[in-house]
Amino acid sequence: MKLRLAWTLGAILLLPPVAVASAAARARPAAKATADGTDLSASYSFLRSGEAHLHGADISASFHLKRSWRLLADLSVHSGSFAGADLKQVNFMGGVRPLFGRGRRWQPFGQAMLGASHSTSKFSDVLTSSQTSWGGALGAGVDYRLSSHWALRGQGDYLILHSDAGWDEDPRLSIGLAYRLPR
Amino acid sequence: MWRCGSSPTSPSGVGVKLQGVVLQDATAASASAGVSAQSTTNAGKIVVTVQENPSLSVTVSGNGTFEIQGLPAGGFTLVFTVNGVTVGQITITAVAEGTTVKIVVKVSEQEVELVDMETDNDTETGTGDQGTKTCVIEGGKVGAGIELEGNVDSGSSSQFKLRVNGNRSSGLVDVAASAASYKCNGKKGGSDCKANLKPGVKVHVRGNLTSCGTSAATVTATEVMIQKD
Repeated sequence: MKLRLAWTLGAILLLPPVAVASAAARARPAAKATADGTDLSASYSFLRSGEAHLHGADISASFHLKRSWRLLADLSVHSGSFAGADLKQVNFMGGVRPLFGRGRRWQPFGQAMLGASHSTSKFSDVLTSSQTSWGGALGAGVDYRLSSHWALRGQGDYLILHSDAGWDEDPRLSIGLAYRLPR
Repeated sequence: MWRCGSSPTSPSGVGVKLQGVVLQDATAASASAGVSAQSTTNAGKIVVTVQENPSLSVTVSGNGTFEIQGLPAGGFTLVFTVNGVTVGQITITAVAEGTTVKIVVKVSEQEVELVDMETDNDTETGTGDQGTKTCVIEGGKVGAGIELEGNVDSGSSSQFKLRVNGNRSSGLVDVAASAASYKCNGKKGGSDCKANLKPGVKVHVRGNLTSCGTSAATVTATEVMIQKD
């Protein structure tokens, strides 16, 4: 049920920008040139993984694909502890990011990605176990433009991962800076 | 709870809260804690069920974490299943209302082993007013029930020294077991079973902590389970 809801949410997020963005692009050709450049971002990131609250970093790059659509690569690393064990999780995903209303100071976006996650649990350097999961993430965020190249970015994702241990649904929140290269 | 298939837990603030991490031992290999490192890959869906209230049941997440709330004060038994097959159980005793118990568990295809346990009132029971540790066993409280897992270091079936798994004890624990009942691989045994207790074997000891200092502790055992020769 949660899975169906998540994928439905993803479809809703990804559908509208085609019409909205094309109109916005016609209205702001100068802004479009900047908006179409590659962007890089680095963020502090919080991940709820299973029952644990993990903290870390998220870096991503997105490249102009077509109209308001961008290709996206995302790497995040989180760590923390739970019940005396040290936990670490690395997520690497790629996908697409539709932009809503390009060129505005506030620029919302959605994103849908597929990829993998590797988690490691360690106790006292004596016992270590690890798990590789496959799945995807659905998310949304907003850029607040600080200058023509810099923006403050906040985003939230919902990671849906599958492994031998079953399904996991991990929410992730990130806040950081994005830098957009000129096209 | 963000785990698919997990059962709802009881309202927070009632009973005992348990937080745990399961480390899977896919090779079923066993090593004395602190002697050799083991690195394994998880390979199965693990479900933890409370024996006293089977409606309290959670699926362990991919990173091994799980949490159960509303556990009965006093004590409870956790039953672990891997891919639907019961592999073992762990009994936690002498837990007060409102306590948070944190455990690290090693699970293999054949057994479950309690590697480490802490309670949120460790600072009250295991340390003095100045924050100085007064008991060699983490969370140990003199006069209270206790369960320990580890390997026999030396001694005989009536009195032996136990090397406790993980970091729960910083020294060997003396176990007085002359009045204890013995079990071998889950079956009650007599003198034959007692004869299996020798240095190196893995045991689960249940009893009372009769004394505990900064370098030594004594447990009077009521039950000794020999888990592996």
